Amino acid sequence: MARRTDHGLHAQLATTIVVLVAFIKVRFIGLYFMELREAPVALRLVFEGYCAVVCAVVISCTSLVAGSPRIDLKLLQPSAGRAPAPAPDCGKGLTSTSRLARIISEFTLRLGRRLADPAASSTATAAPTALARIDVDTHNLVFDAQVKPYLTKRWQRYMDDFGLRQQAAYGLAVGQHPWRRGLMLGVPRASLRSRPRVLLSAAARGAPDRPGHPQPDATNLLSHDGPGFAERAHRRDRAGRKRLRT
Amino acid sequence: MSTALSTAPEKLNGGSERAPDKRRHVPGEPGVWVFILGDMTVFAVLFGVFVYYRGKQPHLFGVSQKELHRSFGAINTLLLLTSSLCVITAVRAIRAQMRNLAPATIVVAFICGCGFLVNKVLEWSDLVSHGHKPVTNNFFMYFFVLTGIHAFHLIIGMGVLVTLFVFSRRKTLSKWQYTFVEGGACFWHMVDLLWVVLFALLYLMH
Repeated sequence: MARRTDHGLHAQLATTIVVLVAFIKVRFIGLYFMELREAPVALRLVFEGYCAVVCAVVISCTSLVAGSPRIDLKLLQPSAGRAPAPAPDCGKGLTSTSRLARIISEFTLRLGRRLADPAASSTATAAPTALARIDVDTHNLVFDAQVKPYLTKRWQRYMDDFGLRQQAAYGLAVGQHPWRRGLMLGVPRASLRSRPRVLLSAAARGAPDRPGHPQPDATNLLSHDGPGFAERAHRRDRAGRKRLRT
Repeated sequence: MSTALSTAPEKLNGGSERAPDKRRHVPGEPGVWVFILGDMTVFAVLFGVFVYYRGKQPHLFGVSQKELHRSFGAINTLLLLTSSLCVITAVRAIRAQMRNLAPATIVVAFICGCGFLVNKVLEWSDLVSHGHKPVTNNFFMYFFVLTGIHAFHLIIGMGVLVTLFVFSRRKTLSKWQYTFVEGGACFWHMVDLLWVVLFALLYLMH
């Protein structure tokens, strides 16, 4: 939420106005009290340049202070003749004053950059700077024994066969395969190279130990190792189980 | 150097006033402006440093800023602007040979400067009594440093005002003295100018 002053004004706008008014006063002091109006043009230009540069730098710094995400001016001003650009999420709900404050601060920031490095600023401003979308995922941590009582029988069988997918271990998805251990976390068949085989073999294996449970059609599975991979994987699976029992 | 400066409007033989000189002139002398602009540049760097570190610790600076009394700053701004108005009035009075007005306005400007210093001392003592010292945090460190350097300039400016007061009581001024009056006045205005920015940065900026 945007910070506001005691008077309900957007903080960034208030700061910009305060600094602008201060430097306008500085300019008047220079022109009328220091009598630079009658001074040589060079001296007057130096003074006015000082006011402009210091004012721009201070406002630019304060806009960075505010920590507001940088917004492309094009996103704030829909141009005629084409569909309005999608407003970024961070700009939603902005009042007109806060938009004006951001426009002013963005303008002064760009001005400062151009003064500092004209070549770099031309390329830097070309790229869009708005943050268009933020993707947030929430992953809970659950265990088989806790979840299983609440599932239907179908999904309970699925868990018996394939297990529950856990963090960073596709190998766990296929239950307790007695194959050689992968390199990752010691989980069976957890290595990147063997993950496709493990998943496909698990699908091909189905639930052979459960009477009445239909076997999946292994021939419909896509194979990374060419035709017949699923059958070979199924044979390896049975051999592995036998080896585990011994 | 001994050339006396006549600032009264010169009259032509026919009695009509001479057309004003359209040539632009540097108030004071160029060397004074090198010093003034250099000083302003140093302060500009200090302003930038302050705003930069404010960006590093916005919450700390915001909370600390609320410990300041804006009324102190506002009164000081009013005092310095009044003193600047008095000084420019004095310079114009000297030009116009209004010898009574110039010393009086310089005295008023000096009193305003004294008021600024008294106000500043009161503010500093109030802050210190509440435990806000330069070592408390970065905000108060910059506050005391910036206002301290500015107060140092103000004290120098008050010394300049004393000299202006002495010159303003003379009936004629040499060219060097007149240049000193203009340059000294510009220095005093610079002190005022810097305070206007300091007030905005230290007391008002959110």
